[in-house]
Amino acid sequence: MTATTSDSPRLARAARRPFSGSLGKVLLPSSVLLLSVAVWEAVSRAGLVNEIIVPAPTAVAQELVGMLDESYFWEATWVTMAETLAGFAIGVVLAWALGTVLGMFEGARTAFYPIVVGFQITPRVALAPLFLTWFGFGLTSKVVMAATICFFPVLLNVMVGMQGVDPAARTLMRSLGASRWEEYRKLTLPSSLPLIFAGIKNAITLALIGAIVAEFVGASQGMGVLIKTLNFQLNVAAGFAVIVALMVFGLILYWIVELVDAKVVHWRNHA
Amino acid sequence: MTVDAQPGTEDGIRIAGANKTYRTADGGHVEALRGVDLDIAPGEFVSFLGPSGCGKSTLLHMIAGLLSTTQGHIDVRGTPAAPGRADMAIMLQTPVLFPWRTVIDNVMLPVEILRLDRTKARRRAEELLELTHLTEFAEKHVWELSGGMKQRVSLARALVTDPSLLLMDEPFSALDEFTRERLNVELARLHDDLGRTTLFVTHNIAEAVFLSDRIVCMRPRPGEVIEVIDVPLPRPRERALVGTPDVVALENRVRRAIAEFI
Repeated sequence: MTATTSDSPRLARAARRPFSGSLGKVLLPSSVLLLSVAVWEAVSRAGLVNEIIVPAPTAVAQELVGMLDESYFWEATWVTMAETLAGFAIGVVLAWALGTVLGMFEGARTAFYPIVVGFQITPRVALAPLFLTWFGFGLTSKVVMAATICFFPVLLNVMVGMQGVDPAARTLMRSLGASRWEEYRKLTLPSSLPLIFAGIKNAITLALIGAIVAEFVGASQGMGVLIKTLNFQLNVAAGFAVIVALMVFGLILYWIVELVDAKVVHWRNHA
Repeated sequence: MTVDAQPGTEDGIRIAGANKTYRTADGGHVEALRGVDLDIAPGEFVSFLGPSGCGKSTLLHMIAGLLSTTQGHIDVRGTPAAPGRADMAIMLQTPVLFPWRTVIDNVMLPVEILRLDRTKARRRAEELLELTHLTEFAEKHVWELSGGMKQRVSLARALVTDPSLLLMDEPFSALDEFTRERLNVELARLHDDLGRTTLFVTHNIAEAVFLSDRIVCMRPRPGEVIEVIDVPLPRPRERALVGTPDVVALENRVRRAIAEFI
């Protein structure tokens, strides 16, 4: 017990949990991923599953690489991304605005809350056929679907965030004679930002889901349409390739939002 | 140092027949505070001491203009109690620092809201951080500070407008005993140096005796002033004072005054 160096407990812990280091944080998940893909490949090659129904990862990769040279792929990507981003932007802005009103005025909250909860509980993808009828085959119905599906998580988080403000901080602001606007600007808004951004991170993934679902229900272009078409043609490997591309684009979108979040809510993990 | 305010003192605080009654949910009434009459002279350090529910915090919030009086009135430096005045600052039980602001920007918050001269206040803020041993933390974020340091930032923020009246609502009660004692010594020193009127709400007898010129002893249900006890201890107040017979005698006197109401 004598003369223990300060870093020896850390070393001991590291020895007990070999994957707790930063290297382990990359190594561990990537080896699990590689292993799963390898098993999939082996199962597919061994003929344990029908290769038409479950194509091997290498076949999917081949299709994907081939697709990257095709203009139809990029056109579909462009359409789906445009729908997603437009829906996301509209949904977030409207939800933020309405959430702020509901968070600020108790009367508005009492009046609208049952409707909000009702919509929150309704599976919003059920609205997709309705939106198709209302807004047609084009981009609009997809943008509306994406906006609707990402609207409520943001709305709720804005409301909850505004109500979660430390009462002592409100007392302080009032003792200084802060106006309602100053209280919002300097206290309520920043202290609800961590929750609002959690909602926004959620929203970007949901917006992509909304766009794809709406395309499934009825569209002439987009990645959802591409997946459906390829499946009908029993070109499952190509269908998988589009799904992989969707995952990558989804990750990129999420990563961008997370970057913005880390910049704006720089105190998130410390408060 | 211990001076009873002269009637009509323009710079002090005058509390006359202050009552606070709350309506309860079932339509009844709760008397939070009954018939408080008190004059506080400029520069005085007055503690409000009593068990929970004695209305000491309510009274402080009324003086701050955050709560209205049901009856009676409170004048602060010649005008009715009201929030948003630069000559008054409040410090709460928790530090209430904003994690999205740096330490110095937290200290500057009152200056922004009260729309005071920023350049002048910035210099004052830096002086105060030096006074509270926080100079090297000025540009740091709040989460990098310990509990005691946070409460010192809160103190610096309260002092940045150079208020002539400082209201403190159990400011150190959430801290550990050692930190609390240390901050009390620092507060006593600051009070000796700056000499501003300080109202200090606490339920800690030793703290009240160590810091105050007068102790307003209060009882609960209904919240009422039992006795106002003078603390004729010499200033500056220093740590060596703690545990001396004079101090112990005063602590016992305060304890006896409140004991029968608990």
